[in-house]
Amino acid sequence: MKSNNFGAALTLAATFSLPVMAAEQPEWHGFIAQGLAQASDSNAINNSGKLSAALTEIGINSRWQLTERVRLAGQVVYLNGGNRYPEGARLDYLFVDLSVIDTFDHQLNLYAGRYKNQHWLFSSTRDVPFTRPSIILPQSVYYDTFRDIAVGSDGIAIKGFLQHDLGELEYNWSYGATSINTEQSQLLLSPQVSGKARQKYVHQASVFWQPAGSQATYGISLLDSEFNYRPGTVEPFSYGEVSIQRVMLNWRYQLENWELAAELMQERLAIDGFYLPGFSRSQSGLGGYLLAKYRFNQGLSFISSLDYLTRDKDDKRGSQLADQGIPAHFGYQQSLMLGLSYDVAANWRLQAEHHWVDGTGRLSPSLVPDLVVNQQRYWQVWALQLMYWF
Amino acid sequence: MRLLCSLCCLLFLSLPGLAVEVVVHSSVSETQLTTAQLRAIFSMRQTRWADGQAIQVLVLPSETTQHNLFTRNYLKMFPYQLDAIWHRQRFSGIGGTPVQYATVQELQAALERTPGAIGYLPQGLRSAELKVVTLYEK
Repeated sequence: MKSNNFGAALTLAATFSLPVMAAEQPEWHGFIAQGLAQASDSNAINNSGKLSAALTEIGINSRWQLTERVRLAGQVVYLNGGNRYPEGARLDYLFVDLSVIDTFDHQLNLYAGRYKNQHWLFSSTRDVPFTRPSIILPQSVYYDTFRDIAVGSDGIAIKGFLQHDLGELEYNWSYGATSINTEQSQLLLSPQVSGKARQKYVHQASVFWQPAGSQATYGISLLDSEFNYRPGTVEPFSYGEVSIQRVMLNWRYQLENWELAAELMQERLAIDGFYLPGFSRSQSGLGGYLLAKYRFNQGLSFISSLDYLTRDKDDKRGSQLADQGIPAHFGYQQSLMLGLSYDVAANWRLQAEHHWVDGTGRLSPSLVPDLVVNQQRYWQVWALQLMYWF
Repeated sequence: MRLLCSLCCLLFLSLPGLAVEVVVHSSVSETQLTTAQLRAIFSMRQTRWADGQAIQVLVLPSETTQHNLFTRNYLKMFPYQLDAIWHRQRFSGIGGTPVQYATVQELQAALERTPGAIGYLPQGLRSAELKVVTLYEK
């Protein structure tokens, strides 16, 4: 289980759903995807830089209508993404969905349990191969190392839609936490950690606005989260606290053949302790991406993205990292991606993409960079994946 | 040029068998909806009619001409946008998906026998068990 909060939230949620069980037949859906990937000159996929089949994603989900206003939904996935995230099965989400308002102009739902992150353009679909625009998403916003923490949390969330003459407003709010296992801690912090990392809370809110008659959607997302780390008995790190605040603007524009999406964010990262007792540092990073998709006929699409991130807006090219013995290219990461996807049959898709990357600011681990493998400022990664869903 | 395109489009939509109309089962009291309300229903966000009856959304496959005409003319969306909404709901657990029928005949039969149903049919196919829904602006 990800967190003790999960049990509490689900128990609370279950009380809503006691009156009538299994009122309707459950829906079942799923997906399976397998691919190949290679990232020479970096640890993005593996430490050797050799061709890897660590691009496996299998998932199954279900949704039950328990009573007129209450549903239960859950999804289990198995992932193998090499160094991108820990290999294995996990419970992606499992929550009770209570319909609070269900009228012609306003719908509001409350989710309790392990809810999914609905606050970013692709946060709720990043874990399903065919619903995200690319195999590897723009890392400035969708940092793979934080995948399990960012996909969902244990707690409560609300989602609402307001239909008005002037347009449509979607609003989201959530409060919860995700527990972090040892493998995730090592990916986030350093392979040398043996203690316990914990997310104390993550508090998020977002709104999206689509004016009437417009194909554009505008949004803003806010995030506030705190973590702490308790070291093991023998290791080089100390007790530490980390806080993150993110402000992000979202934009999407959808035409018949073209689809454009962009997210721009500023993220404050404050670290107290961890490296040494009494250590303190606060920095604000900037990042964002522009993603374009063009749909040809017969299920063929072209995808491209430009992605940019600097971990410290006051040291955009990482030149001050030299004071700590860290090469400057760990201070930023920018990339160009070109890709194609082809629907080979109903519910089958083949996708391929190539990324040209400058900088290693979004490789793992996040807090203690891998100076041995990630020595190259310029590196590339390509991926090919066949996916099926039902 | 734009006027010419609009006239061609109008002519195309008015050809017998090509234009579609939104229909509901006779148990549904609503016969007028706004574009935003139709979007909420076909996005599977709104699940109840005003009298509390469950809404049953019935559609044809996304590739069909009738579905294409319906999404563009009634929802003011492209079919891929509606597909993306359904996929998002299905794989994040927050909503259901419509029941899909392979042919117009199957869809019509399902609309006629399903209380609370809403869907679309080519003009001229509506039977006594179905009512037409017209669009209005508030």
